Amino acid sequence: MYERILNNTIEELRKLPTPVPAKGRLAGFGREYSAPDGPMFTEDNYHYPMGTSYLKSGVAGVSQRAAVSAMKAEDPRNRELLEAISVVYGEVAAWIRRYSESVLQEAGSDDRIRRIGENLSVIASRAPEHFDQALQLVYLMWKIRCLNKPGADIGRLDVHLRKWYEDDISSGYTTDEEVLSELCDFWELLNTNDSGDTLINVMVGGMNPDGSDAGSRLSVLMLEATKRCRKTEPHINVRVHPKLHPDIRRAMLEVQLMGHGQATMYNDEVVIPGLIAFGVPEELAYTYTNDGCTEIMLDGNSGIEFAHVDVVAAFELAFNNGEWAPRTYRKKVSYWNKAGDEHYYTPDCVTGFESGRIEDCSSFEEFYQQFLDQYRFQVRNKCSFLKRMEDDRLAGGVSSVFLNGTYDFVIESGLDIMRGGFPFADYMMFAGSIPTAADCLTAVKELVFDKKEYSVAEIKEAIRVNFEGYEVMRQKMLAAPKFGNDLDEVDELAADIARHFCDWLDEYRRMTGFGMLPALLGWRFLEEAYGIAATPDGRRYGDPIAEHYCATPGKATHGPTALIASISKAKDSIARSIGVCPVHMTLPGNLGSSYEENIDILDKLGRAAFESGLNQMNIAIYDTKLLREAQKDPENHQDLIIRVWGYSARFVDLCTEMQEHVISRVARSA
Amino acid sequence: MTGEVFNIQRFSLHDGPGIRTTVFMSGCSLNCRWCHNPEGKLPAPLLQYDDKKCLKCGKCAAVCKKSVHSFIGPEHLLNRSRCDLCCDCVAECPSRALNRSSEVYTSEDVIKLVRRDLSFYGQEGGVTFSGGEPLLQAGFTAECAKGCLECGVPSVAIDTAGNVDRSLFETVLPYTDYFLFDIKCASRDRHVRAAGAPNDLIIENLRWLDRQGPGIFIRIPVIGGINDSNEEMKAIAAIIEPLESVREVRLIPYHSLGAEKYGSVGMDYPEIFGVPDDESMKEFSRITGGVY
Repeated sequence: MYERILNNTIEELRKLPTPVPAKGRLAGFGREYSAPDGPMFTEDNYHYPMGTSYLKSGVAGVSQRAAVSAMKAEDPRNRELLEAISVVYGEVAAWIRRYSESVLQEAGSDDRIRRIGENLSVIASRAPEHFDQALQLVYLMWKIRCLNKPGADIGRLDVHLRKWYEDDISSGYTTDEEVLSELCDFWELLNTNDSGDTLINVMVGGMNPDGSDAGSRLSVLMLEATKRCRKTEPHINVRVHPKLHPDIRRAMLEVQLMGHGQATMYNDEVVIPGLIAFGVPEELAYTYTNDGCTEIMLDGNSGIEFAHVDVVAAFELAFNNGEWAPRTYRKKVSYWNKAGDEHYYTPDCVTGFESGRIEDCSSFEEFYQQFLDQYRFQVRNKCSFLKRMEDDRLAGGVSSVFLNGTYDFVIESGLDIMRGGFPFADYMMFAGSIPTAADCLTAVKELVFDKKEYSVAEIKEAIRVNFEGYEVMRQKMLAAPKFGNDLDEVDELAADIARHFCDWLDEYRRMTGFGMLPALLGWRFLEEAYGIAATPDGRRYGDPIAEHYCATPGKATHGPTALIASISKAKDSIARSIGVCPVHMTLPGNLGSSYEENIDILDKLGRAAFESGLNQMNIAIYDTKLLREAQKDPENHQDLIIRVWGYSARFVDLCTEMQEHVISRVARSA
Repeated sequence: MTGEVFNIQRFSLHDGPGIRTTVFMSGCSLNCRWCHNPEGKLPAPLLQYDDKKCLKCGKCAAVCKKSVHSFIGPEHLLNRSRCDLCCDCVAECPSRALNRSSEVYTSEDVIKLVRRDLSFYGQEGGVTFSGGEPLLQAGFTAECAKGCLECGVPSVAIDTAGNVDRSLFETVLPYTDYFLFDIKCASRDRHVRAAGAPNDLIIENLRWLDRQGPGIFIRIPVIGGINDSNEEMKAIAAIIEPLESVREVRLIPYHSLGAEKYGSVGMDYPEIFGVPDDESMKEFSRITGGVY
């Protein structure tokens, strides 16, 4: 089963280069060396962190442990995997040894290079003994994992490395300033791989099962490194809880105030009880971290797979009885950046399910039920898709030997992570853009059913021509209540859709035994805005649709507190949507009148948002004028970093449509 | 009790300490030449019209019984003298180009809205009553303030120009934690020319208020050609210097953002003033001990 994977992995490991670093204290390389996609990387989607077996045992130790386990394994598949891990980790150790020799040979009288070589020598043969060695090993292992990709998730790095950090500080082996400098080197190395949608996330902070803080001084230093480096990678996140050390909170707020759309906050007090209620064992629930976008998974204890149904597309299908809206326009769009290919995008939904003709509905409630039927049908299709994926994997999934070897439980059992090896199978269903669907439904309710100002035929015709010649109608649609302004009629409707979505997943789990975490998020909102026709909320084709469970950009006009109030009306569903429910809050540049006042405002906003039941929040601060200047003069704005969805990227790298989307976010709260 | 309110702004960050909700009350006893809230000057509502939003669809003209609206080619003309503020046109306007400049609120309405952001106020934030001149509706303001405090709003601030009878201050004082107090000019004659009234009462009220205890935030609008001289700032500083309850002095540089609003309520924008440069602001800041 593993022969091809093993052979390819050995082949790639033997080709690895050993470049001597020109600066810094860490060895390694970035995108200048890569490997082609091959069996080595089988079934790795890079969205979840590796395990930490190599930190505890060293790579040579992993090799030995796997060999011992293989001798005891009864299942031949498990035995084969363990034997393969033993060989692969022997090869990893050999490469690090070669690397060490190469560096030491070049070192001469250069103490910096000599120390790097000596550290490599240690981690080639045994477990790291000091913080810098552990950090070095993390980078090399991370790099091996994603030799063919721009990046992979990192997880709770402060928890992983805390032991070495605290031992070194108490023994006087190192200082905070040295650690900070090493972290900056690590951050810089990550940035040499790629920038933007890289999946490179680091989570710090968090609560232990006894309520104490898992965060440490090292968490603060990681946030400080983000401040110092001012680059896009890694995307830094903080698990917030009542006992989070004030220094970590302060450092987090200072990073947020940089305006780069980091650090994203996760609310332990909602996420952990939600995971436990879902059935995740308590000791695992406390290990949660986040994926490259924002999804929740368990650090070193789960992978992640997901599917997404765009609810605005489901609305369009419901409005047209299972078919896409007739229209006279279509435009190509990029995924998010200028480097991406332009393409025509069609939402990933199934046409042909006749949920009913809106023309035959005598009340809004009838049409709303048709919409729910259509949406439920689309969700069920995706549930079946994920379940089949899980069934296939359990039947005989095999995956990267290298990756498997990072997990202690695999080294013990030999059970492949793709064949049920993970302690928790993290499958997730996304429901992005519910607020835009609620806006559409509210406008239809008001104009078609309540006030009877327009017939369905008139609205369909206006949509067909993208409202050309129908500006009065469009303005009336725009005047209908919009999500994000603390208006119950539309907010409650959105909350009801979210509740149904969670209920459907529970129902599917009862029927099939297959559970999926609900997530009120979506990441293809830009493409969807070009895949979906104009909509009856007054949105022209191509105008933005809502990100995640946030307001449609430009439509929340009563400020951040009203937006949070709108979102929190779905707090019961948010508590169930531990996948999560990301909230992107974009604030204008002129917050308070001093730095301390700005810190205070961000602090209050974050605390109040979490008290109101949100489980995740990202705060970005931009100046619209500056973004416009960057559009005109990209050369001089290369360092302008903004939040895209689950990651930050350089503004000038975004495609024009995404740039406009980001600017429209700012306008909503200015 | 009811009051005339022309705006309620949540997440207000520049009207007192912390995160606040600001209630803008109609009516003012001054007539500052640079005022950027013309709709707040008059105690009664006006029909507001935004030409940029108007679709020229004619729906307002069709519904108006007083023939306020007419269209000549692409131009939408308003005869405001005929308008009785029935607001049928406002309800009919698809693009919200027409609005009533203020609305009647009950104190319960205001308290309910202010309460919505209770969790954001922290220990220092709260509600600010601004305007216009909120003390012209002192009874209503006091009732709102009292109700807000009773339901846990941490603090009440009143943003006043100070040109009102002492008794109106006394009405709100028991329910007010902070006053944001404007000083526009120190010299009496200059004040008359700038704001349409002398400043004797204002200064007298400020000195009296200083002895009553609430924190005072002095706000000085810096207007080119009106008070942007070192002499004037020194004279203002001399007024502030003996006061004991001042928590902050803030200089607010003039901007012309209110210009379009004058047109929307059928008023001519009186003048455009100079915007003080950064160097001048630094010097005024030094003289007055203020921030900007």
